[in-house]
Amino acid sequence: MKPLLRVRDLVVEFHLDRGTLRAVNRVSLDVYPGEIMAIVGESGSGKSTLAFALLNLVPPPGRIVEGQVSFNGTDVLALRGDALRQYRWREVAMVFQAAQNVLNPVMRVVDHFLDTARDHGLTNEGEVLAWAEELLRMVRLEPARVFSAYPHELSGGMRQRVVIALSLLLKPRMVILDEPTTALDVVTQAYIMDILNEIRREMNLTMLLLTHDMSVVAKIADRVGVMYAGQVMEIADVDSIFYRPRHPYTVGLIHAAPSLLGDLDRKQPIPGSPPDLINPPPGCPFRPRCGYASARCEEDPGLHVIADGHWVACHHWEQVTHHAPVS
Amino acid sequence: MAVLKRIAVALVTLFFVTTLTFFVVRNTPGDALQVWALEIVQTYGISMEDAMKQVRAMYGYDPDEPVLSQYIRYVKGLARGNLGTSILYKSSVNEIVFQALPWTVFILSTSLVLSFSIGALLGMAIAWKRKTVLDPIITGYAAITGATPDYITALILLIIFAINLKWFPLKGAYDPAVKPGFTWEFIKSVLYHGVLPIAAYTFENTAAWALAMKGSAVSVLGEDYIMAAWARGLKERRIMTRYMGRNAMLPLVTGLAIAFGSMMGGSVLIETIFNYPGIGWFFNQAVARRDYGLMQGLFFLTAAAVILANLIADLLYTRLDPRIRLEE
Repeated sequence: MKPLLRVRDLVVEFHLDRGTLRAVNRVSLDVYPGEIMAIVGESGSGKSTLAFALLNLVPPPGRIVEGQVSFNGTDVLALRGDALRQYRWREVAMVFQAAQNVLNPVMRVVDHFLDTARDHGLTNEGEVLAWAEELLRMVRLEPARVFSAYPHELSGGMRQRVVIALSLLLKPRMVILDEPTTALDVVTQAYIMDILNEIRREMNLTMLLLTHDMSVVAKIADRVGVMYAGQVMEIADVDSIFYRPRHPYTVGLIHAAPSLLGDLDRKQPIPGSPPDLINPPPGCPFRPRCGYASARCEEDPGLHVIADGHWVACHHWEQVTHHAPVS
Repeated sequence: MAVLKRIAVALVTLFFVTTLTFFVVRNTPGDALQVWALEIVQTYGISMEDAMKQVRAMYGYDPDEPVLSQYIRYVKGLARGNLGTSILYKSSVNEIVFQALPWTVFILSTSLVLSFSIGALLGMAIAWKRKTVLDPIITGYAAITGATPDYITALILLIIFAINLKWFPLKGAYDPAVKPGFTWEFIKSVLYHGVLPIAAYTFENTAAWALAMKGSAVSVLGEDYIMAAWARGLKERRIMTRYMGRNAMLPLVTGLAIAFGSMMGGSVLIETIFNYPGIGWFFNQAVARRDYGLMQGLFFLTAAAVILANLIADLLYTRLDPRIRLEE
């Protein structure tokens, strides 16, 4: 199957007073039609920057320095003007973090739907509203109540469901979900994940889910990419990631997440902290925190295939075992 | 309920301001009555005593009357809409206000609308396109007009355009040869006489509005909903007006409403320099010639207008920003 989204060697840099920060460092990944691909990583691992780069919308002082992003055959980074505007939301829509004020505080919810439709050439207001109502019902909101509300009049969970409905307005092929449930309470989180799963099945949508939450990944994702310090450490299907992880950082992430049945004491945080992304040391960025690290790790391992659909950026992947001590 | 509470607070404020100005004005040495009586003595040849009696009756003021009872009479007058009496013009303050206010409102509202809209557009433009030559130019312009008092600007305009080039008239609100009325000739004359005062006022205030708007707009541009609007593929123009502009405008609304209120007091110096018969010009006359009645009336007018404008700003703000509701 041909990938819907193909990213190769993508580099995004922020030019700051202190130096140049490489937020996304030679990232390559494929997303296939109809799947849910999760990108897991700690905050600061470059997930959000990657998401904006996929929309060719990196805010200054950030800049896409090199690499390719192609979506359904279109070279996204070459798009300009109206073509770029049409690509955004119509091809790839985005659901932002729940804690963000994504809706214009002085506009009613309904006007966000109408605005978006109008600027994408949908002039039949009746049709747009009917479809928006259907979407709101799909995310289990009452259109009549929500339409006339201002964003601040809705709860966090309701607002996030509005944003999800809004992301589907133009029937995009792919939706990027950036920490869609962070900052919501656990019950609402589960509720929203259910809704997303349902929508994906009904609309045959491709989703790119960015999260730090391994339990969300386990529940919903088909394939997983693990990001650390702006780089992809490992890519594999969800079972391989959880049962046969080959990167020490992936193993660390799994062990750092509390398990529902196990003892809370068994939770093992990864010692140390992520590297400074300005002038990072050469080689594997996880090296200082890694129990397998050797002199060889000062050389960049690069992402390579170790099994069908399983990619790893580690020199010692063959030694890595599931229960390995991290340090 | 909340609205009524705001109105009550406004009325109480107005009451305090009135009381304060009354006692301040009454405690300044007042020999304007004697000046007036002397005039009558000279004109009609009656005795000073009779003249004083007549003057007191006309002015409604008896120096021997206890201050408290004077005060009560003054407040009662205000309650009936009587702003007092001008000794200098020998007429009621109401009449003077009725004559002068339209000129002040004409000049100041025109220049306020001009300076606010030009300033807001400039501010939005420099916030939107961060690195343009416009930014340092506007900032420099703001620094210069911020540092020059308005009467200097007015004098410079007067010297260049009225005295040297003789493009515009030196004084007045219209040509006395033209009969006032709703005729094109009269309107033309009014506009012609208004150009310099309006220009002086607009020139003074545009940059300040531009900087206020720029500051507000830059902070709005950092908001998530701007980024989200780009991600939704909205048109640049819509993001600039409905998303940035509308939100950036909010903090300026209060300032605008208060500017409208304080303009009722007129611009004393600008109107005096252009000899423009507005409230500011009469204020200058009242102060220069110790006309306490007129001063008091105009003070009251200005205070009432500012307080009213504040009230309107409060109420307007709740209409513009749905997040703000007057708390009970």
